[in-house]
Amino acid sequence: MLHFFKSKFFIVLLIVSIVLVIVPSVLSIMGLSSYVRSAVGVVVSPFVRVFDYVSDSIHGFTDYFTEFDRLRDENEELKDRISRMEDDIYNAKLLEAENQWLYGFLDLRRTHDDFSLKEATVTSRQAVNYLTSFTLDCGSMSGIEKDMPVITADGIVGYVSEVGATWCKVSSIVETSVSVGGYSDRSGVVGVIEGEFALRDNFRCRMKYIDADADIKVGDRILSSGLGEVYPRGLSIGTVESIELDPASRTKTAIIKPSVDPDSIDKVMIIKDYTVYTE
Amino acid sequence: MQLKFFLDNDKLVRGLSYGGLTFFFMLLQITLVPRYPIFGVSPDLILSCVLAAAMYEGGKFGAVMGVAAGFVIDAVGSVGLSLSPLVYMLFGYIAGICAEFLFRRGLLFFTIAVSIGYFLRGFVTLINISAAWNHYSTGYVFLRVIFPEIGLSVLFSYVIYFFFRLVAGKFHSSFELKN
Repeated sequence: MLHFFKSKFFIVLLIVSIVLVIVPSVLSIMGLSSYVRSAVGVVVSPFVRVFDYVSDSIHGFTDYFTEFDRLRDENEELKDRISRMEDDIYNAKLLEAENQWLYGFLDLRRTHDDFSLKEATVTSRQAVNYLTSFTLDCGSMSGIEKDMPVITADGIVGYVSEVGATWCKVSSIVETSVSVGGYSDRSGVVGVIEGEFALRDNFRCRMKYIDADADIKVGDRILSSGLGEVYPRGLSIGTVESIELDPASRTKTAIIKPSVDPDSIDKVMIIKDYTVYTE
Repeated sequence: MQLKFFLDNDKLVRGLSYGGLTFFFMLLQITLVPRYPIFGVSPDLILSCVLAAAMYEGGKFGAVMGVAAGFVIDAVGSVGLSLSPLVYMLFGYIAGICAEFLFRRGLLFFTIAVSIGYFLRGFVTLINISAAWNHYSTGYVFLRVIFPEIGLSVLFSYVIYFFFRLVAGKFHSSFELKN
């Protein structure tokens, strides 16, 4: 048996293999790379790349099965996160809307520092088709009385038409029961704003008793004049949408688009008290 | 000259066939196999290739395969000490001689050869670990690295045996393969 280990072949190969062990090892310990080893690496690397690519594909394919549980858990976690984020976005939108409303509120207080305001939230809207009204969450216990004006930062909403202990009902400015004195912000032309059932469906009202030669144009902003003892002076009622001339009475009538659409509001302010300015 | 078999056309074809198959498993060894460690270790496929080739083609062929395969696998898949050319050459040579003159070729011999081969190779792994790490527990190394490596390598060696048996069938009669 020993003669196999004494053959020239074995001795030559043993020397070769010892050289191949010692040289790369010593070079590696010295921090150097053997040229022969590097050359082998260069030759083999294209094949390695191909196999690595195939391995990646196989690994990706098997990941589908082996990591299914992990991916399912991750999916659930991500769904939860998305849900929480959606809640956050929803809350942020609410806060943004509230912030805008408070800005308007602040601006209104600055402009009308004589107003005593009570903030209220719309709790319900009219249940019938012939009225434009809604219910607020404060009533006589909060000092609310009938005929108090209800406004937003954009302008007049309506007035308190019915009061309970903890609630009150508001009739819109387009209802017929109250007439409001108004004037053009641009030209100072005055008139009386009244509701009209035929216009109510389109949420419009009419400004009557305008002189035939008065300077009023479509787009003019109409403000409350303070006459009528409900609304204080200077609040926005709406804008002139169209003008009609009545030849018989020699007056004009303007169709007004109110500044505030009651269907789009959630919060309002009730003017509990204000200073009446007299000329 | 005994080295003249390199120039022999038949030997060259056999060398390329076994070498190509070993090269294929070597590429698997350094690309796909490390991606799927079992019990934290990857099996060594190359020693099985060397032993299978040695079993069918004899000690000289196994020795040459061992040197070449050991050198290439150390060049592309290892750093630091490079003991594989010597170890694989010895394993290939001895296994080839045993298969040629002492035992019948077959799965039983192959199983014995790879079991002994991988057990001894475990000590090479231990040498490599001691060269690369300052602090380690020998018990831990055996338990978590060497023994799992031996077990897995022996297990996977049957796959390699199957492929080498197919290649060997091209060059040997069924009678030769069994004796």
